[in-house]
Amino acid sequence: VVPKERLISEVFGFDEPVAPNALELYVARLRKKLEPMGPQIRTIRGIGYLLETR
Amino acid sequence: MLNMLLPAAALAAALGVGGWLMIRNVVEAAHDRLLDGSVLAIAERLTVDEDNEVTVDLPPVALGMLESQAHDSIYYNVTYDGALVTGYQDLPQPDLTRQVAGETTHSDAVYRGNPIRVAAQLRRVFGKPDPVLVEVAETTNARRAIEYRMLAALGLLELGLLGLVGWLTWRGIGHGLQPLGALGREIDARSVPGAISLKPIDLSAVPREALAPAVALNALLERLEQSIGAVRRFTADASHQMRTPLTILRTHLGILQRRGIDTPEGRAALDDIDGAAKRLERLLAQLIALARADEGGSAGDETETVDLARVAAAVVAERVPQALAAGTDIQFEGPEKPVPIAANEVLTGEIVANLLDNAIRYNRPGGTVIIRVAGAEIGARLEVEDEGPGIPASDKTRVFERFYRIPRKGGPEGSGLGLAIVRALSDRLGADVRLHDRKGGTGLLAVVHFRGAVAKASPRADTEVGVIGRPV
Repeated sequence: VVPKERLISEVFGFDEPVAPNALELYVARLRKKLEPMGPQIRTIRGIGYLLETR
Repeated sequence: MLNMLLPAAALAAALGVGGWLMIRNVVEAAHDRLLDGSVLAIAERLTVDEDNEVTVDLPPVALGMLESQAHDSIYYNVTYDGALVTGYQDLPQPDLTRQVAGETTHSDAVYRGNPIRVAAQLRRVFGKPDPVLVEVAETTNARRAIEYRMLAALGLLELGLLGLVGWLTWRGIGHGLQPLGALGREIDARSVPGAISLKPIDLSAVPREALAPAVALNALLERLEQSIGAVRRFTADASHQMRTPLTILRTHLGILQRRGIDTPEGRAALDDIDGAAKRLERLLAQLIALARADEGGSAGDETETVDLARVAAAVVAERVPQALAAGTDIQFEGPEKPVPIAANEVLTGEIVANLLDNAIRYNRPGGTVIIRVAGAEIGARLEVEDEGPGIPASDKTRVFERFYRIPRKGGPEGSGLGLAIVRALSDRLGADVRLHDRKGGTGLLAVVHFRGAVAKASPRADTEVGVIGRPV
């Protein structure tokens, strides 16, 4: 499980101001692209995201 | 005993000193009055003769009244203007500047090597301009003799009193402690090796003076018997729990030996062996956790400031794979800010882990487990909610007992130790655990109330708060 805070800091860096739902937007796009190939991104509410490979 | 007599002896000594001073004053006063009488008798007889000289017609009774059995020497002296009229020339004189005519003064002096008491008076005589000095003195043998007699009597009286007090105290203590001695023998008789009796003491046979310690002892014996009973039950239950997976292991090992690995029965046996080993491993881990929680005992020791939100989130993240494997959706709800509690990080983590473990294991397939952390008015709350069958009200207390399991068909396997561990750890941290029904459907809501962190409990707590408060 990758905590949300870590994703935000690694994807956006320290300087950029981050909109509250910016990360959700990126995750949604990633999901769309990955799902046809198999891997699934699961949201663990309050904790972060989990990449599941089947 | 000696300690008890010491105050009495000190009191006796103080009384002795006071008594001696009083005796001295009384004896001196009585004897001084005799001297005064003698001085007066002489002074009354002072006259001036036809040659204008001071003369005295010394009456025998004037000195006779001073005679005593103690053979005191008596001296007298009459002087006018420094010249001897009659008596002993060298008798010591009082300080004449302080002497007032007509008043008798007393002083101590030494004459011819013996201590004497001198009474002196200046007396005006008709026909002479200056007063005449009259002195009468006596050695102090009689005075000292009476003093010593009275002092000896006082000393004897005090010794007798002291002895009486000592004897009464000794008798009193001996008598008072007798019931305790009987109680001691009664307790001694119980510690027969191999058959120590923890039965309460028969209070009807205990004397009233020893009732309080006997009642306290009975309460202690009862608690001791309960705790020994609890340890016995725990040992029996623990060994029973261990025996079941061990039996399964042996059975399936037997199947493996007979059938070999490459048969369907063999492969199934291998799976079962793996499961039994896992059960055994978990049981051992739980027993160790329980023993650790028990050995600390008192709440409040070794507490530090712990961020409940961070600890709970870490445990949840750790258990995500287990939850997903069980087909359970796991959610965490907590504030962005730290939730400081007074606890111990490892023990707090164990509490969260055990509750979470239960919530996942007993959840319905496809159900949700929600972990919530929130600061409360005092301290903080941890909630773990599942959508399993819940726990009936009648069992909500018993589930905290060690090895107690709700009799239920088809449920997951367990040792009955999880909630007992949560209770033991919570007790140690001074936290409070309660079980409720989930609102809006079946399921269990476990709530742990932690104690709040004291702001300046330790320098360590301060630095920790500082680190958390720094902007990231």
